[in-house]
Amino acid sequence: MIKAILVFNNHGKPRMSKFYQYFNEDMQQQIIKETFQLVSKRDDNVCNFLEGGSLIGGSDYKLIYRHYATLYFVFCVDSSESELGILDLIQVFVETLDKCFENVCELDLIFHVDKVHYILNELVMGGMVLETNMTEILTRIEDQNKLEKQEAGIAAAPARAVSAVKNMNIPQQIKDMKLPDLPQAIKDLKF
Amino acid sequence: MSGIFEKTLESIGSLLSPLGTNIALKNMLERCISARTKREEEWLIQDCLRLVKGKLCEPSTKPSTIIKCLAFSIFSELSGYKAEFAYIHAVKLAQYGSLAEKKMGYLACAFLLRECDSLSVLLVNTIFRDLTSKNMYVVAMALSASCHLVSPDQVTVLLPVLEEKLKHPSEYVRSKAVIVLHHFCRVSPQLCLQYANQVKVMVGDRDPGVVAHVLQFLIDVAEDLPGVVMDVMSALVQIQNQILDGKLPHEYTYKGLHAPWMQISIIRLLQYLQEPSMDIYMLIQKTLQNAMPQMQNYIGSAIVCECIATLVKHKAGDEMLASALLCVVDLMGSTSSNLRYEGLSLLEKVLEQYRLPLSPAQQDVVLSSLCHPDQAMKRRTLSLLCTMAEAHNVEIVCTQVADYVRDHCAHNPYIQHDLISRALALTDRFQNSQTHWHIAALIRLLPLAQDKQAKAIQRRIQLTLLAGSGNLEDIIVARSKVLHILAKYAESKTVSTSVIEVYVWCLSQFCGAKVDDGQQVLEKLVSLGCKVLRNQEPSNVSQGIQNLLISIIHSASHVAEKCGTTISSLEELLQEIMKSHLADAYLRHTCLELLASLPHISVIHRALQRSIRSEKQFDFTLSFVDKFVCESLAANAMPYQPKLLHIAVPVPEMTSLPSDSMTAPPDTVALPSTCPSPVSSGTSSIIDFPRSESFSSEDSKSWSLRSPQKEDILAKPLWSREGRTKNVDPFVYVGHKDQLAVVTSDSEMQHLASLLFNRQEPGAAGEETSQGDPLDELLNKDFQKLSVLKSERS
Repeated sequence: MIKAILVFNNHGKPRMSKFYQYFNEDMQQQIIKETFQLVSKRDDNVCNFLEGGSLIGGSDYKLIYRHYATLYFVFCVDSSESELGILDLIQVFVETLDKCFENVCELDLIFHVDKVHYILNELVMGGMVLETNMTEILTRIEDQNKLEKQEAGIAAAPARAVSAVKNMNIPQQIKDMKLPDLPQAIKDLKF
Repeated sequence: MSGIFEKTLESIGSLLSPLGTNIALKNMLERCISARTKREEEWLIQDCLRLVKGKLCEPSTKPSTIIKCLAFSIFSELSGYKAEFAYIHAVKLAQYGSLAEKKMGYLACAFLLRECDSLSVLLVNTIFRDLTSKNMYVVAMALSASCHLVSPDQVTVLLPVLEEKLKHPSEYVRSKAVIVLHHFCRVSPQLCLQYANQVKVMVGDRDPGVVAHVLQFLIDVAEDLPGVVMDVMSALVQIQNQILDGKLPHEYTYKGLHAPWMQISIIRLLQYLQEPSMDIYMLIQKTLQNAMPQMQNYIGSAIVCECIATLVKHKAGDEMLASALLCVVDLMGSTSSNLRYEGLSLLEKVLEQYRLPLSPAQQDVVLSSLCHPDQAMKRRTLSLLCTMAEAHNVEIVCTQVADYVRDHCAHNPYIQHDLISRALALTDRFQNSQTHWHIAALIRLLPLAQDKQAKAIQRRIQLTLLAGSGNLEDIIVARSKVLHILAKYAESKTVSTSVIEVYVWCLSQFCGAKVDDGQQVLEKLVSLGCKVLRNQEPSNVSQGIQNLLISIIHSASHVAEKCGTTISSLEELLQEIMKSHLADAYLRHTCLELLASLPHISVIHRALQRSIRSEKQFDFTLSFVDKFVCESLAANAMPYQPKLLHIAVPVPEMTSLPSDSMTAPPDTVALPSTCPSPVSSGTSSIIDFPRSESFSSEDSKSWSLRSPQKEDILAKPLWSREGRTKNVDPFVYVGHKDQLAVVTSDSEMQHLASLLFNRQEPGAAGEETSQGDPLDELLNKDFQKLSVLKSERS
């Protein structure tokens, strides 16, 4: 069983967390802090397995982590999971995020918290691995998005137009607008 | 069309309002993460939360805005700042929203709420309703949410509808339903194991994805229901053969292997077989051969490791094992540290079952892993070494373990406990009565262990020194060596209290029986006690210090009785201990006991000597004390209070001890205490007594539950060697304290007593007190006397 999935950056700020076992909020923050302390001390060329700390502890639990650029992805699992299998699962998760967001970076995790969680929910559910195939996960998410749009239907047309307009950020576009190059003569015209 | 136009104008107008747009949310998030200090971050996030709260409170807020507000609330809770106001909106969105809104609502609920929250209860009905929806995505959302939001007592509500979903036409829903059932089985096993049979049948499902989840479920229940695995064995073999033959759809291929995670599950399930047939072994071999070319991938190695673990578990024959062991060697020699780590774990499993020698190359790998800078690798190697330790290298292994625990386990009590228990197991197994290495190892491990483990180590040391294997001379040599070691250790500044306890015990046990020896040892004990008192923190006395002082006192009393002597500084030490530990009744009691016995120490010593020399039997019934108890009670001593009454009383005001109790003659002081006598402290453990019990009669005087006015009782001797005398009333109530000789009491009182307690009345005629019919008696009573007397009230 997977007990928790944590993603935090090189400074220990949490970017995504999902607990599959009940911990209250203070415990959760402490676990994130302690995990960061354990994991940040590791070199890049050592193995990716750690015994759990004293909080998420118990001799049965291991931390399996991977470090990508500025982010640590940590899965806390018990002995019923294969350690090497989980390593590859982290890889699948990151690859799926990459496909979804096109060159995923830390900011994508912050600005699209809900999307990241939807992807994770297709990968792991209730502490068990749900799906391991990246294409399958992406297909599911696409299908759901299509269905939501369909459900909104014709009545959503104005709403979509409205949201398109809202997302336009007109002041910025006005600033960015480039006027064509007029010939110098016209520019020199004086009235 | 005009309507659309108006709406568009309206929304352009709301461009300037915060949170109306995605960009606005993005800006808010950017502001929050740009904070440079914690205080700034807190200020920014709280500011944004106020905005969000205001927006959510507006009645006309659109669902799309609510979604953005919830997204921000999730971010703020992730960063550690609670957004409780958002919970109810998340619930509402999940209950009434469209598909997209429901999705966000459920997501927010799963993240923000806990099973035990009162709001989660509101959702159970929604989940139930959504589970019966025709839209499969709605059903799927509800299933995902039920893993987070359904508490164990509400599981029964959802089980029937969940069972239906196991047969849903869509494999997406079926997979999720199996996982939800798995989750419920973990939280309330007694309710859900009955559904295991239905899930077991799904091993034959047409979708491999569903089958994969069924296998995961079976792994978890296999512990409780091993029969389940037997039933599906043939199905498992079939599935695995299909996988290996490549008959699964191509989307199940990952890095050149077919459905690797499913293969791992199947091989793991095979571990639960009782007696595997040859077919099973062949299947595992086939899987191994299939995965070996992909061993440079993690997933290929994962399958190989699982196969080898199963072969080893079933103690497969030599030919099977040979190829397996080659893989282990490959893993251990790999350049990737992860694969090396796995290789070491696998080797440990192999060596647990088979005693195989290591080749020089393998030994090199083990050595280099032991000296590796990576702590995780070192820990794994230590585990391996503990498993493969033999008599010739067990000492160095224990030393390595002790060093590792000392240097790296300060913050991880689990690893500490685990490694120390393994080292202890080794000391038990490989005791050597000539070199006594195990005693040295135990002394090394003692300061590193906590609480129960420390006590276990102390007991082992004591038992070995008292009665270890081997001849007496060797043990005597060991004892003197240990005494020297501990004497030196006790002088070091960083010595732990558990080590000093053992030292103190050894001093008392192994000193000579002469008076001079006794006095020397007592002097040592007293100086140690003074040092402890001087160094302790006055405000916070730890458990370790208290245990240590008690062990010093016990040892001193043991020595005093053994040698029949005492020294004056011992009494001073005891007085000082009592003064500085007013709150600790048990410690004071121990001191008082010794102080009470010191004036009579030579008598006690002679009595002990006599009983050892003569062949009289000991009277363990203690019936000879009964008479003493009766006489003390008659002479106004306080009766013994059971410890439960002590515990029931809250911490009393600490009265200082009455100074005259020191000079009181021993007769009126403590009633027989329940501490074991010091004579037997040799074989019992040093510290066995719970702290909260306190039996001192001095203490009971200051905070007794009984009134100071004692009941006037006269106690009769009751106990003899054969046991309690039957049909004797131990207590007779006397009207006045002075009239001790004649027992006269009110006849009505007697009658009542005989009715209540079935006592025999002397001289009473049996017929007069015959049992009448209660109804007849009632009939003859004056009914006015039965009602309440109204005249008193007015």
